[in-house]
Amino acid sequence: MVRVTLDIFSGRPNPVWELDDAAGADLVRQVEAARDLVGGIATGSGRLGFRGLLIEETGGGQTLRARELPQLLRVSGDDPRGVELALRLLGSLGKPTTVHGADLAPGLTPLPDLDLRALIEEDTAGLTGREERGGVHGYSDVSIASLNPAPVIATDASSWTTQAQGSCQIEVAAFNPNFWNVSPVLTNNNCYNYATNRRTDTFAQPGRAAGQQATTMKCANVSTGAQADGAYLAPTCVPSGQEPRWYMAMVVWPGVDYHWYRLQAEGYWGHKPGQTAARNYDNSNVVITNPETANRGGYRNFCGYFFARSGMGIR
Amino acid sequence: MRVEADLFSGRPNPSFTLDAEQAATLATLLRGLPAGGERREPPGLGYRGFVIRDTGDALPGCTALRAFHGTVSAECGAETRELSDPAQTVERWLLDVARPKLTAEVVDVIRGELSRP
Repeated sequence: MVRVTLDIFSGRPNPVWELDDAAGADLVRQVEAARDLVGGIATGSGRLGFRGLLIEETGGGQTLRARELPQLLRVSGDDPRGVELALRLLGSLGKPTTVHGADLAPGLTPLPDLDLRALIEEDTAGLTGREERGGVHGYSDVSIASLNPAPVIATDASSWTTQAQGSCQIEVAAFNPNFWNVSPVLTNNNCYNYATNRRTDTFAQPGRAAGQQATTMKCANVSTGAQADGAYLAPTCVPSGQEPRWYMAMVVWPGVDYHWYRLQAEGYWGHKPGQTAARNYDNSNVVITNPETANRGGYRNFCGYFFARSGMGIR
Repeated sequence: MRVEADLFSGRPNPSFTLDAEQAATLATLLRGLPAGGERREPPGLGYRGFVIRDTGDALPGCTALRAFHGTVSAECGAETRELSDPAQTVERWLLDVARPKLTAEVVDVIRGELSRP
């Protein structure tokens, strides 16, 4: 079990949620992707208003430990990504409870009736610049307009089908390695080209099109680069009108390199390791049905799932 | 002569250039290897060997080679020629040459792979 506390109130008890193992693991994946925002619970700024998320492993679980995260941590609310994470979380959780006893002081709006999302947005409007940026959760087409993407020479799919992925809609296309496994496509396109399904012949790097190329090989840095290119971090869904919305997974070889996968129509995952051939099997020659458990060699940190979309640009 | 340490997926592989003296040393090493060897398919993710795409005069008639796990595979016209190098002398020598240009972590990874049976 994972306990999440929205650290926002001063006088009244903070809202708390108890997540089961599956939901907790999903949250922890998102936290890991923003690992540079993680600190001890005492690291909050102490300001009045939204100060972040406190996350705690309860019941002897290993969800946080398995990701090499502290058993009790704070995701900073002083950074726009921490705010976005909290807003996304609120969108997927039910009504909160408290663990600090009754919350029934006279004159207080009962906790379950509070619009916590509105409180956070109001409190952090200046921090996130949401009014200026617009769009979905701040990932706007305004920021995409500042991209300098490489021209897309071609993609490996002329058609696709739409299917549900959690609460989101995604597109999947048939596995088509022959598109990638010929010269000069083979050596000029990497895993990021493959996952975003964009042949650019630039050996594309996350964030380079946006001037924010990841140089430190950590989940958070590569994730930030990809999001600057216009990718969405799951579970934030890409709205319709931006198809194809490819479903991608990202992993990191800590300090060394990153790698991406893309879900195929057949239900397995395709990938293209560096300049080598596109394939649908892992280092054990097993077809990849789950990138989290596949044999990934040294790429041991699983960083999360992402959505590509039509407005995304890579270089 | 340009050499790549083939091990990354997302980032470009580390690469370095051999000067004339180093190229001559490599040619000597290669010519001392017997034909044969059991070519092992490199993994998708991780160390996949050292690759030279323009071998110059190192192996007459051949244009590119990969040294991986004790076998040197050379592209020589329409055929692939295998050279046996069970002591991995070519890979170890290339790692020594590359060492100043690689991060300590990458050197450790490759060294670990070279020690693997």
